[in-house]
Amino acid sequence: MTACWQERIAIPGAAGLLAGELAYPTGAPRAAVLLLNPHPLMGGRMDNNVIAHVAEALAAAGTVTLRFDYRGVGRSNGPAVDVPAAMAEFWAHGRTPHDPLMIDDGRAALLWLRRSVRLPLFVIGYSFGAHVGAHIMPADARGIILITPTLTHHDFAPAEHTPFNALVVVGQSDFATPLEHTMHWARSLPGSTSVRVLSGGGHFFRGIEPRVADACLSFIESTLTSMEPASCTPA
Amino acid sequence: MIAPRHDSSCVAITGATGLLGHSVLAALLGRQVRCLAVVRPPVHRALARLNRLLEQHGLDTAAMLRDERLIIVAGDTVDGLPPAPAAGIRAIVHAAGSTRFAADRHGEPHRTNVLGTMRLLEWAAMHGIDEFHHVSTAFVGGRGRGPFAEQTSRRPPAFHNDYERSKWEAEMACAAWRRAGTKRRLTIYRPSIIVGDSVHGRTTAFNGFYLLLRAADTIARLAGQDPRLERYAMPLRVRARHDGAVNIVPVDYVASMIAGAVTLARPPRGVFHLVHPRPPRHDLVQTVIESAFDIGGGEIVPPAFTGRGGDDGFISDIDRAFGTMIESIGPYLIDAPEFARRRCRALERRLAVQCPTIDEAFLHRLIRYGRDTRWGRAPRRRTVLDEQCAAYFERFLPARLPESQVARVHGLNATVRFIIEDIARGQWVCRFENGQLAHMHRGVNGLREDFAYRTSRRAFWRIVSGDSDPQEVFLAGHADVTGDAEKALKMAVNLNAFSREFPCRPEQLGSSIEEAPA
Repeated sequence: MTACWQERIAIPGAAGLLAGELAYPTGAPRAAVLLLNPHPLMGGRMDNNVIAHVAEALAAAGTVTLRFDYRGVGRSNGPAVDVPAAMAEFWAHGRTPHDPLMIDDGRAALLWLRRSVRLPLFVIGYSFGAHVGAHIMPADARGIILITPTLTHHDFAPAEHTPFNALVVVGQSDFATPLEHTMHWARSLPGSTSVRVLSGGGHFFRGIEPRVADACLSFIESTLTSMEPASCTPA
Repeated sequence: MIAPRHDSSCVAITGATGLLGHSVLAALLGRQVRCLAVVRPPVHRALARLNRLLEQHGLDTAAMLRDERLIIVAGDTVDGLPPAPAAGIRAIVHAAGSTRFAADRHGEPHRTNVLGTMRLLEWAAMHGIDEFHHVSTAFVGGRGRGPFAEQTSRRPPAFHNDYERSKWEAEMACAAWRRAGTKRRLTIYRPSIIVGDSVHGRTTAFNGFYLLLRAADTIARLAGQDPRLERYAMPLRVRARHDGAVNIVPVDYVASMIAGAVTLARPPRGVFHLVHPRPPRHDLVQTVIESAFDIGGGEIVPPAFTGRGGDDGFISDIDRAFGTMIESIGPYLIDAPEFARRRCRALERRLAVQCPTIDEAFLHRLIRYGRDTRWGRAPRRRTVLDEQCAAYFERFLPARLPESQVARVHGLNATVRFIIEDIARGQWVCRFENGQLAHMHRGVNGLREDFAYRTSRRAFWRIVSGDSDPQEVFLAGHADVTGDAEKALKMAVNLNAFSREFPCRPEQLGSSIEEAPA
């Protein structure tokens, strides 16, 4: 893997500063990518195995990547959470009352990234992060990658009504959403959507994180290539 | 259509305390087949081992012995087999075998594999048992790339080693037994290199393919100790066919096929290659090994490679050490043989069994299990930490949980089996009802869990002392979950909250047992 630079940053958010990590290639970057973590109660920190691996792999391959922690998670500021109440809600429904606030955090991170770099933008959301991504995806972004979207738990309506250029990455045996459900949903999307099913992958992609990163990189590179002006041929 | 048999007779099985034998036994018991396990004396030792092995499959040995669903008899295929029980034996599964590659002074592998099989066949004939299921090996074809056919060759091929020859001779003995009786049915299963199960990577035998993994582990540890070694530029070469694959096959698949065939109303006859249809290529195995052990620089070179090296062909001490460690499986990497599996495919369809995919995740599981269990080395002596695990479940958790914030999570209802891999009887089943611990039991107790959380003792203590988040331990590959993964992750949140509120250090839980030496 090629080397990349990494630096810790702080993103102004509605509830204080959000801790983030910016990674970029040693050469000139070609795109910017915002990564959105799973639910904080489901291993959703920016050092999550998939998020961290994809961020580093994409940065080494020539993109600027930003990952961050939602409010109240890791080093990010945020009000104290009533843990038993949140756990009880999460146990019952797989959601917490704070979930919508994380969409605001995603927007804050997106704003920070857009102000910091002017490059073709991509959004990658993993699990619950895919739900956040679907809600904050700006119209001028080049594409969105939804990794094992939690379709049966969260609202993905924006993706269902806006023609995104999208890639859905899903494990063959994802406990959160049956594969057939994800395939059917992806086929119903209005935009250009491709699906990549990773054999041997469940929801967590343990041990096969590089294949998730490869799938993301292929999508970004093919999108960037299709954006390039056609080369001139002599008459 | 599968037509299982139901009768009062039983199936005798040899090698029931071995990796494949106990897996077949568990699969048969799981299909409600009465089994008679022939174990080498002393019986109490074999029984203790069987108890431990079957417990991992969720089977309660004591209850099955009580109900006579399982009968244990002492016997040795070579030194003396027991009289047949009154209930009658309708079939024999011969899974006992020696995997010693080179002949030793005790006469192995010939003694167990050839003599043992012949004596067992005589025993079957004496007791009028007409159905014989014999476990052989896919490598009876000897040298060459194949494809090897699913049939017994009467002419001995050129073998790599004494093991292959002994298994071929055993097949010949089986064929002669079948020809001697018109009613006799013979099924020969030829698995390739058997590895751990597809779910946990669990195994009890760390030979064969594991030699390669253990060698890599040793090299990686050396790299960590010797600053002169560059861990990403290891000077070593492995001779193998670059486009070849090493045919490994998960033990649970082999066991399902054999147990499935035994329970058919008309068991299949003939030879079946229980080999993987898409074995992992050498380059994939290399990638996974480099990633898992964080090493690099090793090179796969053609079998005929004679590049610069020392007098013995090795390019460095590390290369020599690695080459010596994997010597016995070297020929299988070079030949990378292929096997016909038309008959096996037909049997898979008949039994509705699929061979699990072997990919990076699977190979990582094998490695993780091997490392967690120290590649099968004897478990450390019972230590203070072992006793303290019991004290945690049996005293600390019931005492503190009602005071914790988790007790306020009223919707929390789940049955969890905690499995601490490197502790004898290291299973505790906890039933949580409305946030309270309603029931707790050590070992198998018939309670069906929603999920099992399996980890090592070391990782367990990091979790309960509040130093590690159980989710992170899982995502980092130091724990496994089977069953309802969503419930498991939610429970992990609660366990983490509990451990932060009531961190439990081992020293808080006293014990009179002395700490084992490191």
